[in-house]
Formats: sequence, C-alpha cells, structure tokens
Amino acid sequence: MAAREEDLDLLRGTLDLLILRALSWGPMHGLAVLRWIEDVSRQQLQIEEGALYPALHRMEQRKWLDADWGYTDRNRKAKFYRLTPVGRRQLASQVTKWSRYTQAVGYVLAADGAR
Amino acid sequence: MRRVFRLPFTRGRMDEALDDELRFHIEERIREFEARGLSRTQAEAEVRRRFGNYDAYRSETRHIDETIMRDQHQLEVIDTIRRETRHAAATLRRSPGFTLIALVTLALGLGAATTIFTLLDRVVLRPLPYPDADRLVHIGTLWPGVRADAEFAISRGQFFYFKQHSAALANIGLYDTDMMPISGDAGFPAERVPTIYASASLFDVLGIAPERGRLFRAEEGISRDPAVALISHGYWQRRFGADPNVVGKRLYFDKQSSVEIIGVLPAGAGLPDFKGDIWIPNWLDPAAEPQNNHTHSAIGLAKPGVSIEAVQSDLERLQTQFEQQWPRVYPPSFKQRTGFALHVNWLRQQVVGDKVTRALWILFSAVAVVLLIAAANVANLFLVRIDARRRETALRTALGANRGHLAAHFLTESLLLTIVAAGAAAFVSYALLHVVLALAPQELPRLEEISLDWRGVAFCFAAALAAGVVFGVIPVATRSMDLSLLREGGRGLTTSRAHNLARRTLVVAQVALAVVLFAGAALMVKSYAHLRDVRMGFDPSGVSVMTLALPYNSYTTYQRTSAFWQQLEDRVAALPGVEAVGATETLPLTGESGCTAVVTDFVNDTARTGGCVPTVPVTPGYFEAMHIRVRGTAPDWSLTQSGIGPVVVSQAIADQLFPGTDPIGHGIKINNDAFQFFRIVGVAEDVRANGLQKPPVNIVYFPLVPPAGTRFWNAGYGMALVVRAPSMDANRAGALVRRIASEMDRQVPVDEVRPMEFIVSRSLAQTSFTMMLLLISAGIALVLSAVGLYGVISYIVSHRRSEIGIRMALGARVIEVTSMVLRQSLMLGVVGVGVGVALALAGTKVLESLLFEVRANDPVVLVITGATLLIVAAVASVGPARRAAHVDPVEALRG
Repeated sequence: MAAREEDLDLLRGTLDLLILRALSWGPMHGLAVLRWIEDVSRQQLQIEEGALYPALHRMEQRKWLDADWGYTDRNRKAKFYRLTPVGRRQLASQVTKWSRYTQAVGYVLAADGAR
Repeated sequence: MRRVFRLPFTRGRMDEALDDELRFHIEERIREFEARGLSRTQAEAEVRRRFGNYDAYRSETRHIDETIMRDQHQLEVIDTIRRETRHAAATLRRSPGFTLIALVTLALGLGAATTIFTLLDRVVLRPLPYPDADRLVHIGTLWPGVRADAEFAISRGQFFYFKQHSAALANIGLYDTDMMPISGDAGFPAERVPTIYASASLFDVLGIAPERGRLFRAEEGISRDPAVALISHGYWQRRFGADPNVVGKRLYFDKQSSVEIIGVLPAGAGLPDFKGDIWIPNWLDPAAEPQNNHTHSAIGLAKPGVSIEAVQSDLERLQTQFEQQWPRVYPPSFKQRTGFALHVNWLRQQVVGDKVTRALWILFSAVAVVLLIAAANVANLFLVRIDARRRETALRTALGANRGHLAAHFLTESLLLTIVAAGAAAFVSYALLHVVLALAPQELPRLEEISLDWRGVAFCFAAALAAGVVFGVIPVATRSMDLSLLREGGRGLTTSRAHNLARRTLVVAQVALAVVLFAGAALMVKSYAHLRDVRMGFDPSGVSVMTLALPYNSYTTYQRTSAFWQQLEDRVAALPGVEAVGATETLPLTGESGCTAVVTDFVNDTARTGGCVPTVPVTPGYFEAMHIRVRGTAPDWSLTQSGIGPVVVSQAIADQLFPGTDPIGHGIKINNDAFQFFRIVGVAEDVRANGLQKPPVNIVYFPLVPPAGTRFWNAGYGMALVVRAPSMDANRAGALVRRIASEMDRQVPVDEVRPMEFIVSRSLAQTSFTMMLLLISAGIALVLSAVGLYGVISYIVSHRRSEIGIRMALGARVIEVTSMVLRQSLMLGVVGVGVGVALALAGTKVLESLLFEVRANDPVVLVITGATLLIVAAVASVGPARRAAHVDPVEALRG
C-alpha cells in the first residue's frame, strides 16, 4: 500500500504548508483539502490520504486551525476546518521560509561546475 | 456550512466524531471513484490503497485528540474557578454586613487556634533540635525513701559502666551545669557565665560539631584540673568580638587559673534546658572508684528501633551487676532506706513535662472549642443567607444547574470567605503570639524557639479549608428541599422548619461549649485566687534580690568569705532607705534546692536521721530581710563567728526531727564525719520554697561559719543578696550594691538583679498563664454565643411577625409578647446550659491536675457559670424582644 517510489515524498512540514494554503481559501473538510492539493498540484503531489488527519488534528491542537461540524452541499455531516489568526500568521511565515529555501536550492542547482 | 454543535467533551463522543470524520472521507471517495466509472469493489480497493494504513492513522489522530481534550478540560476547570471566584467575590461584596461579621468571627477563631497550635507544636509536638532527637533518652534515679516527688541524676561510676556495657544504648553523655565566675579584664566586668561540664561523648550523643577548632578528647577529662574549654557562638561574638583567632586564647577564671579555648560551638548548640556559654571537660577518670554521688545529668542515645522499656530493663540489669560489684557503694541498708531505682524516659517527654503537655493540650482544646463556636455562628449566618437566596438556588436548579454546579458555586463562595479569613487569622495569630509569649511562664520549655512558622500557617489554612467545605456543603445538602419550594411556589414551610431546627441546635451547641469553657476558666480563676492567698512564709514586697559570686581562689577560708558578706551587709544596710539586708544560697521559688542527709543529737532512734533535707546557708540578716519569723534567736554575726555554728530550722523539720521537744539548744549536723554538731538557736516559720502549690519545705538554715573542729565547709561562694528597701526599685538597689561590691573586690560580679515579687509572680505564671488564656477563650466564647443567640432570636421574631401581629390585634399586651420572645431565648439557654454542665462535669476532670485546692466539679463554679450563660441568653433577646413589641399589627398582617 506504500506510495509509488517515483511519487514525490512529502515531508510533514510541507504537508502542513499545503493544508494551511488550502484553508486560506476558506473553511473546508479534510477531503476538500485533499482534492484542492490534488487539483492545484496537477496530480503530481500524491500523499497517503490517511496522513492528512493526524496533520489536521495536530494543527488544531496547536490552535492554527479551528474546527466545527457542519453539512456539505449534498447535506452530509462533515468536520470543517478553518484558519485561526494564529494559523494565518503561521502560513505567512512558512511561505516565506519555503520560497527562501527553494530559491537557495535553485541557486545551487543552477550553479555551473566547480570554480 | 451550518454550524451544528461544539466539539465533543467525552471520550465516547470523541471516538464517534473521529470515526464520523474518517467514514465521511472514505465513503465520499468511493462514491467519487464509482462516478468515474469504477466498480464498487475496484473503487473500495483504490480508496484503501490511497488512504494508507487506516488503523495506524486513526490511532495517531486519536492520540492527538486525547491531548486536545485534556487541555480543554484543564482550561475549562481554570476558567470555571476564575469565573466562580469572581462571581463569589461580587456576591460577598454585595452583602458586606454578612461578609464582615463572618470574616471577623472566623479570623478571631482561627487566629486563636493557630496561636495555641503553634505553642503546642513548638513546645510539645516538635522534636528537640538534635539530629537523633527521637533516640535521646534521659537517665535519672528515683529515691522514694528520701523524697517522693523528686528525681535525681546518676553517678560517674554508673556512666562508665552503662556506657561500656549497655546493649540498648549506642552512647551516653554526662554533664553538670554551673554559673562560672569569669574574671574581668579591659572593657569587660567580672561576670558569671553559664557553664557546662561535659563528657566528650556528650557531643556525639547530641550530634554537635564545632564551628571552629575541635571538641574535647575523652582523655582531657582524666585530670581534675581542666585545661581546655569550648565556647558558644554567642559568647565568642560577645566577649571575643567574633575574633577569628580565638582558638588557642585563654579564658581566666581568676588570676591563677585559666583554660585554653580549643573551639567554638555553632549557634544554637546547647542542652535542651540549659544554654551554656562555656563548656569544660567533666572530670571523668575511668580508673577512679565509683562513689555514691548521683548528681550528674545523663543523656543516652538509644540504638535505632529500641523502645524506652528496653532501655529501662537493659540499664536495670546493668545496675544490678554494678551494685554487686560495688557493695560498699550500694549497701543493702542504703537500698532499703532510699528505695533507690533507675528511671529512664524519652528526653523530649522529660524536658517538656507531663504538666506542661497537659496544660497546652487543654488550652488547645479550649481554642478549638472557640473555633467551633465561631464556625457555628458562621454556619448560622450561612443558613440565614441560604434562606434569603433560596429562589436563586431554585432558579439555578431549574435552569439545569446540577448538583455539581451548585456545589461548585457555593463551595467557591464559602472557600473564598474562609481563605480570606485564614489570611487575616495568620496576622491575628502573629500578633497574638507576641502577647501570649509575654504572658507565658518562663519555665515553659523551649520558649525561645517559638514564632509563627509555616506549620502554624498550614494549620490555619487547613482548618479554614475544612470549615469552608462544611459551610459550602450546607446549601447543597438542603437543595432537594428547595426544588419542592419552586414547584409549590409557596413559602417552603418544610425547609424553613428544618433550617430552624438546625439553627437552634447550633445555638444550643454554642451555649453548651461556652459553658464548658467558662467553667474551666472559672476553676482556674479560683485556683489562682487560692494560690495568691497561700501563706508563703515570707514577704516579697519591697525586696530586691541579686546574685553575687566570690572567686574560689581568693576566698580560701570561711573566715574570709564570711568577712566579705558581713562587710557587704554592713555597708548596704547603712544606705538610706534600706531597712534590712541578708543573703542566702538559695532563694525561695527559684527551683528545687538539693538536699543533704542530716543527723541530730536528739536521743530518739527513729527520728535521729532526718532523711534528706534542703540545707541552705544564710547570713544572719536573711530572716529579717525576708520577714521570715523566727522563734528563739535569729543569729547575728558575733554568734555566727562564735564557733557554735548557730542553726535555724524550719517548723516542719522541728516537728519531724524533734517530736514533742523544743529543738532549740539541740545539735544538728550533716551526716558526714568531717562535720561537728551545729547548735539550733531558732525555729523559723515554714516557707513554700519549692512552689506555692507545693507543701512547705523542710529547711535547715546553716550559718556561713561552722562550729569549731569542722574540717570541711565551703558555704558562701555564690549567694543571693536580699535587700529590703521599699523606697528603691530593684535596678537602683542593684546599682548601689554593684558599686559597693566592686569597691570591696573588683572580681565579684553582681547579676540577676530583680524584685522578689517578680520571682513570686513567675512561680504563679503557669497557673496565671493557663487562667488568662482560658479566660480570654471563655470571653470570646460568651460573646460569640450571645451573637449566635441574638441572631436566632431575631430571625425567629422576624419570621413570626405576622403571628405576633395577629396576637397583638387580638389584644395581647406588649409584656406578653416580650416575655414570649424572652422565653424563647431562655429555653435555648437552659437546654444549652444543661448540656454544657453535663459536658463540663465530664470535661473539666482533665483540668484537675492544674487546679489548686479546687475540685473540678466545684458546685459554686457550675452555678455561677450556668447563671452567667442564662443572663447572656436574656440580654441577647432584649433587642429582638423590643422589636417584637413594636410590631404594628396592621402592617404585619398586610405584609
């Protein structure tokens, strides 16, 4: 059942960032978060779906997220998550950190040969 | 999205929610894949693959949820406490009268209880300040044939034998105490310094280590002339200015003799009942032959886990062996005559004493009773409040507040009140302790250790919490009744009847307890009055006393010592305002004097030897200075120096040793071949020298100069000068004597200057102390019961306003209404007094040993007590009765 090897292996911190980003659009239930990640990453980022829930609950514990039970459009009961102000600040700082990191990695990869 | 409900709070609902969330994911996913054209089975397989290990993820998530729930519960609790506290504070502020009365009552009750608890804790409960305090054993000897009530110490021979052979004791320390004259030098006057002659082992037993230098070695006690000394921390600072190089310096007793200081002991090091400034090796030569001289105090260190009975039987076994080895020291006749026996006791019990322990427990019970009365008052206040707030309670219940919520609500309120009261009580107790310590008898052991400490504060808050819980539970306990109240919409007669019964019971209990306290206090007052009326045998008024010590080395003959005293007396007597002056080796009421065996020349075999009697050397002026009446001749100096050895005996000893004969003209001497017969020249009135509560003491007053031919006499070194000068206070007399003494001999210190009245009142201190505290407790108890009675009667009157109105409308006269109210109060009073007298009869028995010439069931005391409480009950009802008399029938019936 393990993810295929060629799938990008997602670090936990990255998953947190993706969840925060997803919820920055508004309250969503877990499955909606997952679909959003799938859509925007064009199916390139595949995660084990079960891993989503420990991540969501841990962020709830850290007060980044708040949760309420509600009903979907199709009238099914589901647990909806939304960003708290703390979560919003967390998202901003993680985005900065992530882009700085990718930029740094980008420089390293773009460098030509040894000087 | 519509919000439906908050997150779950129970474990079951938490699990359910998690399963719902995960099921939603799986089911929606399956539906999605089916919509994309997969079969049901394929879709399920695909979803399972994508989800990963379901159980692992679920349990990981669940673990997080549990943490969340725990945190939330904690927050919730803290939040509730904060909210309830704020609410309770506001409620209490809204009824300042209730709050203030409850606070003051509780603070007084708790403060008094905390004060006496601290006293009890420090004096009785707490171990002595030694590392192995609970293993320290007092070792003494009883001599019932000599004196029934006295205990003596042990001999050096016993010390060596027990120390070497005891199976129950790990070690034994031996000591003697004395006031040692230290010669003056630059900047320091001559002084008498409390000195301990200690065995080297004593430091091991007590666990004392030196702060500087070293302790004694056992071999340093072998020589009769000690060469070394240790000094206390305080003496090091006072006399040596905390000199870091003090070790190696010398301490001079007089010009010829001195010792080397080998170390400084840490602050606080000392014996349980004696704080020495100088410690000198006791003369302990293991090669010396044992002697029948049982005057050395001993403390043993029991091996761990050994009982006091085991120590006793172990030492008794050794004593038997010891006596068999030394029949010359312990001849059978000696054993038979004296009833000589060993006595061991835990050191702490020995130091504190049964009587002090008992007195403090009694006082603690008294303040505990005061606290109970105070608590009953506050409980009554709470009952009144609950009545007033029954609608609030009922409403809360109706709105869904469960038993727990209500309990939390009322508990917070009562706990807040009692905790604030406890804080105030700590301050009350802190102040009260100073007062109590000022009143406390000096003989109360371990007094210097006492101050309010964390144990006292902890006791205070524990008592407050207990009271708070009880007060808080009252409304919850009555809640079920209140529910019916709301349902009926009526006045809840059942409830108020039950509350009324509770109120009356509380008041009756208060009165009963107050009776017990009042009876106890009255018994102590009567004892004290009896004690003050006791014929002491001397007159302390206008008398100043002080101690002087002559250095042994410069006064080597009794002629020289008596010459000093004669000259001093002559010069002091010549001072204007001095009526008489004399000196004695032992002042009355300054502790038990030792005793010596005496024999007489009276030819009557049974009475010839007088057991053991206190022998007190005095100067001729003593009897006049103390106003002790003497029949026959009170000797003067010329008679003293005439070589006949004029002796005055007390009346009691005259009766004992010379039955049916006038002792004047007979001879008496110390039972020792070195002495000649002294001539009895007078018979003195009996003096209660060992305490006013004890029978008069037999005394033989010896002169400073023995009869010609006596080979050994060393009286007159340490004496108390008695100056009768009513126009002078003690300080002035002391200053004058000090000047004269220093003109005569600069090496003679004058100390312990005080009025003789002080010594008398100090000997009464234990009785007066117990009496004062019981009186205060009884006073508070009376006031509190009066307040309690007043509250209940007022409540009854206000509750029966309409009934009273009807009666008055029907023609009842004011006097009838008033007497009805009065009757109510007296009824409560009578029941309370009845119960109280029964309790007092049972309870005051424990007072018996503290009483003097009063029986615990003294009828006068009980009658006065009962009458007082009934008067209190009557007075407490005056206000409510007047209010009842002024009820306007029309208004009362309308309302």
